[in-house]
Amino acid sequence: MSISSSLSRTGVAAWYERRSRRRRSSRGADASLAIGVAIIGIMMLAALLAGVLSPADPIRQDIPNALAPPGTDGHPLGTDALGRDVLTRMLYAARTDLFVAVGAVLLPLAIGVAVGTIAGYRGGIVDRVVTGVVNVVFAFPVMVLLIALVFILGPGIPTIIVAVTLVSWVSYARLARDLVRRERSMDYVLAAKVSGLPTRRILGRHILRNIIAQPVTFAMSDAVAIILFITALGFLGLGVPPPAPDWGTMIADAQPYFTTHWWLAVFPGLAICAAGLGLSLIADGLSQKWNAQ
Amino acid sequence: MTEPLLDVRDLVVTFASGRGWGGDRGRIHAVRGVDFSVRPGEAFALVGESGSGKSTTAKCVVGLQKPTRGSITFAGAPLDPARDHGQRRAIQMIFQDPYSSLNPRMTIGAALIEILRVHRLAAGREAAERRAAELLDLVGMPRSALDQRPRAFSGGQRQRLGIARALAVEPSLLVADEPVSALDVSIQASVLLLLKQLQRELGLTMLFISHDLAVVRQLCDRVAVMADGLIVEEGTVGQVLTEPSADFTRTLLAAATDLPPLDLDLEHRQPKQRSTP
Ligand SMILES: Nc1ncnc2c1ncn2[C@@H]1O[C@H](COP(=O)(O)OP(=O)(O)O)[C@@H](O)[C@H]1O
Ligand SMILES: [Mg+2]
Repeated sequence: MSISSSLSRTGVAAWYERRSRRRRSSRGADASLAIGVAIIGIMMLAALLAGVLSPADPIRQDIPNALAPPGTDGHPLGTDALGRDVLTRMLYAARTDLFVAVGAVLLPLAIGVAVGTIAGYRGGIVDRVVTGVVNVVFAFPVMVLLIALVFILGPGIPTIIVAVTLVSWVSYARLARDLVRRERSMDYVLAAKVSGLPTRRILGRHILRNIIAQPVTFAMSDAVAIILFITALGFLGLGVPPPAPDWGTMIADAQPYFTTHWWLAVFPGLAICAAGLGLSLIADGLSQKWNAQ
Repeated sequence: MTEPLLDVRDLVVTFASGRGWGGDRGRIHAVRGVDFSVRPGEAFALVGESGSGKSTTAKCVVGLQKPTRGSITFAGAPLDPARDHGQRRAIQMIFQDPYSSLNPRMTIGAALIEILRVHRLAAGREAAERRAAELLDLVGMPRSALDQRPRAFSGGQRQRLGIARALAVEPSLLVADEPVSALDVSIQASVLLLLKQLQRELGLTMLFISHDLAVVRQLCDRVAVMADGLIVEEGTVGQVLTEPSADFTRTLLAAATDLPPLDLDLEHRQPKQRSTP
């Protein structure tokens, strides 16, 4: 259930199988990976260099120059209803959204894989407890749970990361648990045990290395879903608190002007699409590369 | 008579089958009371058809399987599944499937060095690298293998690497679970020859598992025949293979492959026999 699979409740494993069956040439994988990394790399660079690329202040209002169209002097992508520069706001929004997406992916990835790996390897009571907790979290509708959590914790960047982590670590835990259960009876793991390697080492250096590809690939495509989720929260007014910019809030603010001032919604929308495309390409390239091995 | 290195008494292993209803029907009796002992320096064979409980017995000996009942004694001390460091080191295993028994993502060197360092068998990284190279020499693999991953090697080569890994910790008992049955017949002899040479040079004791009596004849001193979780016959290779007393052993003999004899001038070599009557 992470967010992306909440749309269709097929399991994560099924999702991965489908993805793996799509076999393409390794050149295709390299191309996907290269383009994806390029897109995300450029966006991250732009986010980091926001202050250099655009000297304007992302939250300073300039009412007399409000709603200037793209191409206006000093405002290549125009200004919003409060006269703030759209390009500048988009650059600073990239900072927020990419940072939140990375945090909201890495945290559940790390927690879920760690918990799932231990449960899968240990089995017994530990496994039953973890599986029970995972199933309980899975039983809730994702969006409802997330929005409830944001309500309880109050809006803000840490809230978004905590809420997404609480909800989506279970997908990684289940995926890792199933993979480790399959892996732990493989001869190379038994051989490591016979060699007298400590369990910590068998898990960390042997099993994890052989199973990590799938959770990481899954995380990449989950990042797309998380960006959409942040956007949705922003749209519902539960996202990053104003006046700090994020793409979702920008689109939400643009709502009254959809028909009259298109640029307010279209540019942040394009940014979201580009981020999603970049992350999907990376996920696709990685999964193809790992499957080829 | 010398004290046995390995002594297995009344070993029983029962698995829950997951099928059937209650009582005895839901259990698989893989090993049903097995006794045998292996003397220091000898090669002891456990033969039997597939499913007769050989691997389960071997797993109990190396500590991968908890016996349901029975005792295993090694060098005079009881051997639990949670054995101490020294006992674990002393008993090593060669696996049947050379394709799944090496970690696909680790280079041969990294895998060997890891074992050497965990057991503090080499002082420092350089010493470990040197020792890993020596291990490769020992099993007849080129040192260039250190930087390669398992997929660069054939089945026979991988089995040699598996042997190198087992020898890394300088064991006294080597358990080989059908070490050549997954290999091409053309390569089997060379791997068996290597095992025999290593056994002699290093003074290893060997528990050799096979379903093939021809292979056992080449390599072993004594043999126990397993059927359906029990030992049905035991004796020297000469006795059991020339005058089998159990019907079952006769069937096995008839099924043995016709392996060319190993080119080894062993003093205690059994007289050559055809494997089929
Ligand atoms: N982990 C296990 N769980 C359930 N049954 C098992 C397990 N391991 C082995 N068995 C069963 O125990 C019996 C003996 O198996 P095994 O020791 O592998 O025989 P062999 O090595 O002689 O072919 C077989 O019927 C096998 O199906
Ligand atoms: Mg077996």
